[in-house]
Amino acid sequence: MNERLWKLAAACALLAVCAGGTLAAEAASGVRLGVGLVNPVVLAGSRQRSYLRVSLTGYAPETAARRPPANVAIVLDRSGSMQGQKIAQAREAALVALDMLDERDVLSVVTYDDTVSVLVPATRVQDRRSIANAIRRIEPGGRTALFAGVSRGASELRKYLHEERVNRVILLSDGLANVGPDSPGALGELGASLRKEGMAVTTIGLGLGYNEDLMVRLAASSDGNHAFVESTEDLVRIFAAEFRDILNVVAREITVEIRCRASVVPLRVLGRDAEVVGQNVTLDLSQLYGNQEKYLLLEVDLPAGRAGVTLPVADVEVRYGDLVSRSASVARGSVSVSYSDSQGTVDSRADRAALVDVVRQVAAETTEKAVKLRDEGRVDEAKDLFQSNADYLLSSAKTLDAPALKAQGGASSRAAENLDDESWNVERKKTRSEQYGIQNQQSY
Amino acid sequence: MHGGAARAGGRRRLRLAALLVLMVALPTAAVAWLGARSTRFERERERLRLAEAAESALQGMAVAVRERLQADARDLDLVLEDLPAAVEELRRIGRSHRLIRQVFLVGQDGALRYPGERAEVMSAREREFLERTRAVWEQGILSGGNSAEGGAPEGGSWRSWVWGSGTSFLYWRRDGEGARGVEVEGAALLSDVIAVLPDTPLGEAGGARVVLTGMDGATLYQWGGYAPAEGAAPLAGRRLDAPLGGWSLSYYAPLGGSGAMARGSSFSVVASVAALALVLAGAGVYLWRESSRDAREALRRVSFVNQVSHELKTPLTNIRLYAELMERSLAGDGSAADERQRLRSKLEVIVDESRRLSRLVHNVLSFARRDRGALEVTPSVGIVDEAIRSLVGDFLPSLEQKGVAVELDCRAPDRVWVDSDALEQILANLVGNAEKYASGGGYLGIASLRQGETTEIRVRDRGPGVPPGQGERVFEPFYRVSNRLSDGVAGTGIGLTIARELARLHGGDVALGPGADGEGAEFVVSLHTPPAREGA
Repeated sequence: MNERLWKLAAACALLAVCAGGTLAAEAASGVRLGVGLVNPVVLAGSRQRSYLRVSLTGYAPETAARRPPANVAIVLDRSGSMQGQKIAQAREAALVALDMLDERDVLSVVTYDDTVSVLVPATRVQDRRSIANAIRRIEPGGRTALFAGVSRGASELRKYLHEERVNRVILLSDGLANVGPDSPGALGELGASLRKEGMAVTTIGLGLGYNEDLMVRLAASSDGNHAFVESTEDLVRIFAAEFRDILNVVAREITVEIRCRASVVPLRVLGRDAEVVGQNVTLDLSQLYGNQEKYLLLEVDLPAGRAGVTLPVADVEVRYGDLVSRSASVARGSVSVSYSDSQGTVDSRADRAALVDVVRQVAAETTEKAVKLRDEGRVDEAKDLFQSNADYLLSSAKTLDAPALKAQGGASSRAAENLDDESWNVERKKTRSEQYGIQNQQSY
Repeated sequence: MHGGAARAGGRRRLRLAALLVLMVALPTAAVAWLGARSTRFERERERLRLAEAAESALQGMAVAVRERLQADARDLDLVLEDLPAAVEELRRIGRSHRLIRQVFLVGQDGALRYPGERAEVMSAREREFLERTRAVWEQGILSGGNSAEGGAPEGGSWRSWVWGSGTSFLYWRRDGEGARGVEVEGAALLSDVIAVLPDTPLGEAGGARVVLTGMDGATLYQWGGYAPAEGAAPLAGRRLDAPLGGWSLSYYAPLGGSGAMARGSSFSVVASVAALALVLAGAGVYLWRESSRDAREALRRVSFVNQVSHELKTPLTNIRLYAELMERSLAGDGSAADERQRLRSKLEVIVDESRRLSRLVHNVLSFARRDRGALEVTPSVGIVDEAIRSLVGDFLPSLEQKGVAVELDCRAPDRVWVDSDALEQILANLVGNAEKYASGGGYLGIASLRQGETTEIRVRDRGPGVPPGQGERVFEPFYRVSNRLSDGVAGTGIGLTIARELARLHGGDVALGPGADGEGAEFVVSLHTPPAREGA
């Protein structure tokens, strides 16, 4: 009898270990989905507004050896304005990036001024020296065919385009596009098309002469990163940070679908370009990074309910390509809301962290409005809006005990002070890149 | 008389100058013009060749673009063949296919079924699509809506129009219920076109440039290392095939092929013209100098005539004057002895002047004979020293009067064959020169020496000498070291010419010697004088 008990125990233990092991294995790859309402409990009796938060965090692979291979095209501006320190630092940055890749990865280098040169066609990173030599040969020249440069970078990526790779174009420019399509709209279209192919474009604006609207639009429409590098010494660091992201991608081609239940009205998504049609909200992301969280906030209009009742609000389905396990995966979740007569309950059950995110996104949208006012020449109105935005952020920082909000408030005050003609150029670039970084939850 | 001749001479010179300039300018201009023409022809030929090459290059590119578009159209056909029914699925296509912005469905009546205004819900993207394409539906896509491009790739039809800052494209096929199609992502289409066109390798300078321009004339893409000047005309141009008929390619290249070739041919034309001009100019200069020399000689001839007249006048005047004085003297009273002395001195002058006159006439006659080539020398038996002493004797009074001391060193007393008249004429010219020009030195030395068949006579003075560099020129006819009548120095410039001519006819020469003590002049006469046998 004892013997049988022991065997049973052993078998159970073994089973448990296996199960646990499998669970653990499953948990270690892919994307962790978190869904919830900012206010899981709302006041009963009338329709209420809240935000539905969908959070996606990638799991980092256990070893660096398991990271997915990268397919990167560096597109470098070599127009005449890149003379001197700028081109030197750009070359340096490209060389640093080269060092971070290995034989699994594919690298191509495209440079452009009036015309486009494919300096290094897409090749596996095996002969580093010849790639490095080609990079060192870059010298500044004519005007800026930015659209063509990005197009050519994309065609180099296509040679090794694969669903199991991280495909990225990194665009470095210091000037205005002036050969070929040059509007934010046109570049935005290009970015959107590239995203559908599975490529993301990260844009790095160097110095004070580039068009930040164009660069941000290109990044936003393709779900890449954007950085404003004011001083050339920072270029190498930014490049390195971007490449760390590239080498840290764990999932790609993510589609988030939120299906709201009847009588729940989805209104809009803060800070991201999502499609809201009827009861459904669809959003596409290009990639997710290991140990990084990306989230979206959907403003919803909730139906009136009775106290004590719990209502299902929405079902969330996230489909993505898992680059670590190399398979297509799905994550699902559901959100419900409860009703209460007590405002105190409502307040105490509010998700503070999510509230902080809401403040951040709302403030970022306000910043966008303020920039527009300043563009229209309505300087005083812009100043007031920046200032009131700062106040909103600072007071929220206190009530929610969130230092991040304080920093964002500081940025808004700073903007309010720099609306004169001399400072506005730099300020606008800073503001736009900060705003995009908040809306995109960029890591650097 | 002199002025008239001079003016006539001047006009002639002017005409000659004009003629020479013409002679240089006309052929040079002709050759330059011909060269320019031929260069132009060559350039035109080159341009045509280039244009042909450019056309075929552009043709190749247009074909590559068309094939790419056809491939894209086939991609779209695949999607259109298998369109899902559910609207949500149709929306998904717009979100995931790189070429498709929006799917649409049209009924038989030409009205949009999807996205339809009648739909209960519409996404923002669908609304924007309707906004962009409103004009298209109003015109009716089914009825003749093929616009300028027409249906190109098998079956599918395209339509393009300008929207905002770019071109929008629709692609559709008819089906049983009407038509189904897509709005194409314009940026993706342009990106595809750029992908099949060449890029520009680094460091490629010169060469050519091809520019792809859009419907509004703005540059969409360009490649090639050559940067054309503002407003330069392209060598060749071509519209792309439908549906990109609003786009065109332009080929630019430096005219005349590459810069090096053009420079090369220009250089050869310029070089040959320059060489020709140089040669002609050289010939012109030579002719001008020759004519100048002739003109100068003519001038000197005129001057010579003037001088001769002057020379003739002076002795004649003296002779006449003294003869008259003698007449008056004879008429006056005074002692016989004084009178005889006075008469004698006056007669001396007359005789001297007559001699001078006859020497001059002798010279002129000799010169005239020389000109005709009829000058000759007839040696007979004589003694050189005797001729010398006789000649010096003639000059003595005049020399004494001018304070010139005469030193003789005669060492040629033998009987030789010599033309004494010629010798006397030679010496008369040399001594006469010394008397005229070198009397300020107060010295005249004549030395003779016979060696074998040659006799050498040196005539030396201590006057100003002959300026360096003019040693040979003094023997040229009419050449006088100083040509100015106002210098107070007489002379015709033919004395040394005659002397040398006569000496040469006599088998010898007259030459300027080194000059003893370095001051003054020394002339050396050498004659061929074979000794005469006794009893001859």
